[in-house]
Amino acid sequence: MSLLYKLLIAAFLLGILGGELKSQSEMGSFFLEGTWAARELNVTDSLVHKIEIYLPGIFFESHHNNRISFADIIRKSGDRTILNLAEVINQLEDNNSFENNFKVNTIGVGIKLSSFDIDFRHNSRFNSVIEYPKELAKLIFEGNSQYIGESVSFGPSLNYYKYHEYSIGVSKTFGDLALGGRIKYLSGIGFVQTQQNTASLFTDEDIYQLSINTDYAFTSSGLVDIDGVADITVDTGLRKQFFSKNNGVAFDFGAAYQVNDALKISASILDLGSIKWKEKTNKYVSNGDYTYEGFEIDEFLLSDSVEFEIKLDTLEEIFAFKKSPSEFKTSLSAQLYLAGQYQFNDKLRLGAILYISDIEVSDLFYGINAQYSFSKSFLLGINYGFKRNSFSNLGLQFTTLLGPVVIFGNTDNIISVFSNERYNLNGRIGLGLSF
Amino acid sequence: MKYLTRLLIFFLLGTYFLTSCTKYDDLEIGDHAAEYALPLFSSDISLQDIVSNRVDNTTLTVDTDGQLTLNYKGALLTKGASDIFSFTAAFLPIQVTDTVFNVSNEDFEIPGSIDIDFLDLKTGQITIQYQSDIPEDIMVNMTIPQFVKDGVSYTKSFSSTYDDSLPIMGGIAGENLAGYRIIGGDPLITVLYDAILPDGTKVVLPSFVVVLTNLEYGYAEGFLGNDVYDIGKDTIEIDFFDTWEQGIVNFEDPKIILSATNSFGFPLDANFFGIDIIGIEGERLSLQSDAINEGIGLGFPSLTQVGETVETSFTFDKDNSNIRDILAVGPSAVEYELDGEPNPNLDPNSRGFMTDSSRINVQMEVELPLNGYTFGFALRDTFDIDLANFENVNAAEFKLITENEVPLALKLEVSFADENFNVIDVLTIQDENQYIGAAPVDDNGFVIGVNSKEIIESFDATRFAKIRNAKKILIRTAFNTTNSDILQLVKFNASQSVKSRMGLKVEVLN
Repeated sequence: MSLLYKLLIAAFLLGILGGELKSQSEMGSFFLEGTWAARELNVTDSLVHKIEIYLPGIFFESHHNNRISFADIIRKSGDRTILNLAEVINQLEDNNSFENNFKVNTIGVGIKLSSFDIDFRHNSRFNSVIEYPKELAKLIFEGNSQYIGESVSFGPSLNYYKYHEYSIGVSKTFGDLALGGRIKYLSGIGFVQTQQNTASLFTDEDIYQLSINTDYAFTSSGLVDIDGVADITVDTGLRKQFFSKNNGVAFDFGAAYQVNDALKISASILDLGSIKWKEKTNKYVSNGDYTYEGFEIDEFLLSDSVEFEIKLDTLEEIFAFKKSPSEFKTSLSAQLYLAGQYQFNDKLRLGAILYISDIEVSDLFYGINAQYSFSKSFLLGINYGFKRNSFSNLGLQFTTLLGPVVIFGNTDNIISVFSNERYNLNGRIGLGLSF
Repeated sequence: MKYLTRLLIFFLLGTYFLTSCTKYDDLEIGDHAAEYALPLFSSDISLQDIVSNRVDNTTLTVDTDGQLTLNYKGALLTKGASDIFSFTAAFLPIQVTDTVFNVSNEDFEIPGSIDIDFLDLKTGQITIQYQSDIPEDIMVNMTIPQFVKDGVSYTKSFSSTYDDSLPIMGGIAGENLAGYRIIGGDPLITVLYDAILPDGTKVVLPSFVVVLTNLEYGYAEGFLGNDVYDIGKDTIEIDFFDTWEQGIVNFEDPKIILSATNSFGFPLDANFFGIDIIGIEGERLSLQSDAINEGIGLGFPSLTQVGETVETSFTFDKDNSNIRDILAVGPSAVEYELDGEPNPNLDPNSRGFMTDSSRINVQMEVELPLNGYTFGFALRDTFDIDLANFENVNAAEFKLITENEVPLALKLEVSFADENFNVIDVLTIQDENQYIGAAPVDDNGFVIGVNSKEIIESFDATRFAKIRNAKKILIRTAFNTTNSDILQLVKFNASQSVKSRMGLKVEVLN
């Protein structure tokens, strides 16, 4: 039995190793004017104070298609916390994706000079997107008996990367026009990306011989190292070092135009750049057909011992990854924000936003926003829009000032925060000091 | 399963941990059932594989028709010329007490039945020492007429001068005799000498000693006796049936073969004291044959074939012995003892020869061609097994497919046992006749088809939990040529095989 587990785990290992670069997308934070979050999304967002200290903050985003959330997976049963797999499988679509973004804004400072604004900041960014067929989950959690006599595709893919981002942003106002730019030095921590994800399993009706076909390829830097099935290293920990040999540069550009006293339009392009991965970079390729018929024990009656366990060399034969050193370059996912804001009165401001990523049309979102300033020290906003192929996106954001302390937060889907419907979880919270 | 769980938890929730305040330290997998199907083993074991791996001290031969034959060879029993006779006593000094002195065959320990015509010496030295107590010069002429070289008898003359001291000594030490022929007869050696004083007077010397050393013959001819001598005894172990639990066997044409090579140039019979078959139950049965009673005449080279070896083969088979009957017990050993009887016709006029390198070699062989009428036996083997990784099994189903090309019905009984061989459970994979049928054969016993069988046996959780603790798997394999009482000749072939493969469906609860 552990034979099949190992087979499937190996397949799943394939699965955690593939995908396409995606980027973070935020709707409400774009409208948090005067915070370092807003300036992160549009470098022309002016500093309000002469000196602003960016204290740690986080952005997180988690999304699974077909309204599957962690709440579906994790259930409380009395004192027990249950990983509820069966129901999840039933809700899966034929092809599924699971995306997680995480950004840590560690520290930064913004300085308002007489003629321009400048800021320095450091972020750590993490992104993973898993795409997997329903059959993979069914194979693992329900077994392959249901597929006897059938060929089932289970090849998953993953895009997974982590990097540090050190940036300098400058913005300047020219009358009603504000322009800005940011240069970002990128230091890659780790990267895995699938290029080919064909894998299928056929279970024969005879004695359940397993035939596996693979045409699988992925590249990795640091995160995964495979020197055989018995020697798979997955380094998921965030590295403590802040610099590596994986260097890159990216740029952000922003513009804002004050059309009149009430209307302002703005545009921002983020993450125009790439990382060249040089450190512990390898390409892994598994390509071939393999049939496992059990142990060929021609000496079944003649040998001294029988072990009904798959041997590592069998797995090696099935998933014979050919490893070859290979430097590679990955482009970040460029993003475009287009927004307009209308200052209805001193308290109320309305906005609209359109977001496009260069990766997939499905990453497009658009929405409207309304913010109300209850006082100079407290602002509350809501936004509603189409995001993640869904109109079920009601967001909430706030900004509050406590003396020199700025606290802000945003979510594009408040329902996911306060309920178990966390299939589309999104949020940011941050802290700063203003002088 | 634990690896899978860890991997999934890590993978699916890893990032979620970073974005959630919920603690999942005590996360458990919810109840669900998974059923996996996987192949366990496949095997294609030919009859040749089965047989060759069951025997150590034998040769398995396969003829061009694929006929399998077990060959068990015994030790090589051998006798050389030195075992017939040698000049072992020739080192004793010959005290020649008169001018004519004879040495008999017996003095050289040559068996009395041997009538040697001549011996050609390969090595040998002669030492002659004499002394005289007469104070005069003396001349000694010595001859051994039986020692002939180039037609001339061995002759030696000595001259000793008196130098005012007595006794007067003379002689020769270690003169080479190689190349001399000893003309046979009785006496074997005659020493003649004349001791002559200056005035012509012949005297008898007070001491005249001849010593023959390293006397070895290279060739001997004559009537070389009829004294029986032991060739040897041996036991041939037959391990093929060691693992038989039970059974009878009826070989179609078993054989015990005597093979001899002989370079002695005289008639020689191999006489068996007996050939006994020791059965697997310890029973002892004697081979009955006229050849045992009368002896087996071995071929020999003629006088014109000196140096050549003549081979003799004699086969005890179903036509000249009761071998088929006594091998039916399932032999574990064959014991035999034999001696050699030269010139069994006792014709003193027959002439033969032997050389110093003459040798008789005898070897026995048991040949068991694997054809027969009745084979009913069972083999038992034990293997270590570890099913500990089969956790949380709710149900299991073994599926065994067997394709039998061997003309033996096959019954497999698989038992799971603990480390002390206590049986925990038995997997009885058998049909209603308790056998996976033998491959069908024609009237001549040749296989004409394949017998296939698919057997499925289910285990529930309780039953599987028991065998999960098994440390040994005991496999009892019973073979039988037929399930009926009618004898059916079957012919085995090296390429005939039993193809077996087993799969397992297992339902796991998590």
